Amino acid sequence: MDLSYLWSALQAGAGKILPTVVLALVPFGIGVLLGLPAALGRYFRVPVLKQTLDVLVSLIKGIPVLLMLMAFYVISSQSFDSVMQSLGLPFSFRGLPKGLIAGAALAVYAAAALSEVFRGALASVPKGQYDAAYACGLSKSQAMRRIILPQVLPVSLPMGCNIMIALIKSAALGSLVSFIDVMNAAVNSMAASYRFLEAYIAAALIYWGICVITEQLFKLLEHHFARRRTA
Amino acid sequence: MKLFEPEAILRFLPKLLTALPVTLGIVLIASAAGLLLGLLLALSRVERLPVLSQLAAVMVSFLRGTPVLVQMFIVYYGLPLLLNTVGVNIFSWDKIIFIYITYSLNCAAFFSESIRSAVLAVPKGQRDAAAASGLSRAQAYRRIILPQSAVIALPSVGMTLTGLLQDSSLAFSLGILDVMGRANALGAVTSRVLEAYAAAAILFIALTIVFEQAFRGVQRKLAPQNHIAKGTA
Repeated sequence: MDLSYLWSALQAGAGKILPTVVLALVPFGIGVLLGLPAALGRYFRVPVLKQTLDVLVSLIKGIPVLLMLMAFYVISSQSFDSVMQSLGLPFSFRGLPKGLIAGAALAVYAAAALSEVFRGALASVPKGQYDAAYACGLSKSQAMRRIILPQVLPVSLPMGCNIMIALIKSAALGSLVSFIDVMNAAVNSMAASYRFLEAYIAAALIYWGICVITEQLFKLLEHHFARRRTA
Repeated sequence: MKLFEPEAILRFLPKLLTALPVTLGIVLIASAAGLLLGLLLALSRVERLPVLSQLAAVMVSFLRGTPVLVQMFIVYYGLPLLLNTVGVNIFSWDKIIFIYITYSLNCAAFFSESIRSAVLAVPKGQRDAAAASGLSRAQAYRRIILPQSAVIALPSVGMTLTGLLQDSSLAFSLGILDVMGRANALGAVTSRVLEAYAAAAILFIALTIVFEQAFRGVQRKLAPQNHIAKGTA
């Protein structure tokens, strides 16, 4: 262990905090946008849609993120060029940012995981809330928007936080599809000196920091909602 | 050469099955060692043992807040150096042992959180009642608190286990020939990478479903209402 190497690995890794956080945040956002409607479809047993989504979610949940990531990479390396050629678009696989591939794989994972979270949260809202909303003359969509979803979102926060942290940690897998994240940057900076232990410790410290901050942010959100509910 | 040949998946599946013991071995060893260590971590925090409790909190936070991939390399590069300073030479150890150690530690952190919240969820009155009945603290844990905590912790322990199963696929990046490593090797040799990945995905999905069903079965069996129902019947 040499602290001066650790310090320079920390600096190299810290330079890639932003891409790493973006690689977790964007899939999280997409996951919320896809996962919430999916959860509603599953919870309210929309015929066909529910069965399709059930199967899809359990399939996705069964595939390791790493496998998904590498499969996406292979698929795009094999067919991206020919698809773009047949569409007449001037893009090539070589120019494709590898973060997009990693992001797409993580978004699929996030959508499946978050749909499970939202479904659980929906189930936690008592049936009486629906009856009361309808009795007050609210339409179905009004009841959803004003009564049900405002209760669903705070309940989903703790599990949502877990998924966000899982995504941040999964961003490290981006290094396996040549996306340069915190870990990759730290390791690359030590490639000449073979100080890999320092590189990985530096990467771990940075990830740890990001995850602890994320956890605190989610806790703040939880407090915010909890205060509003009692006020 | 066809772009995607479904028959290749069927050809690959039996070959991947031969790597299944490696994957299951990681899961089994890590969950057993993780459960034991996780229990110790959880109890030292619940009982607020001085020093140990703070140490456990930092360790759990670190293990939960860093990618397993990074932990794996830290153990792989760091543990031999660390032990070397006290005169123990493990540089020649098989890589798989470092994998076992990494996943055991990682699992212990997640298990300890499940166990801790489960122990805290057991009503305080149970503890008082056990003490009033003359049980020592160790007896109270063994006979009263832990059996109830186990039932509460089961769902999240199950989730950690399926997560472990999937995370174990990372071992291939250290060159371990588990299901994922085998799939990669097969893909490279036959240049049917996608088919090999599909075969691995099928295997992982099947295993995940088996795990989930097994846990659901155990949960149904241990559910407290079942015992009450049987007791009154």
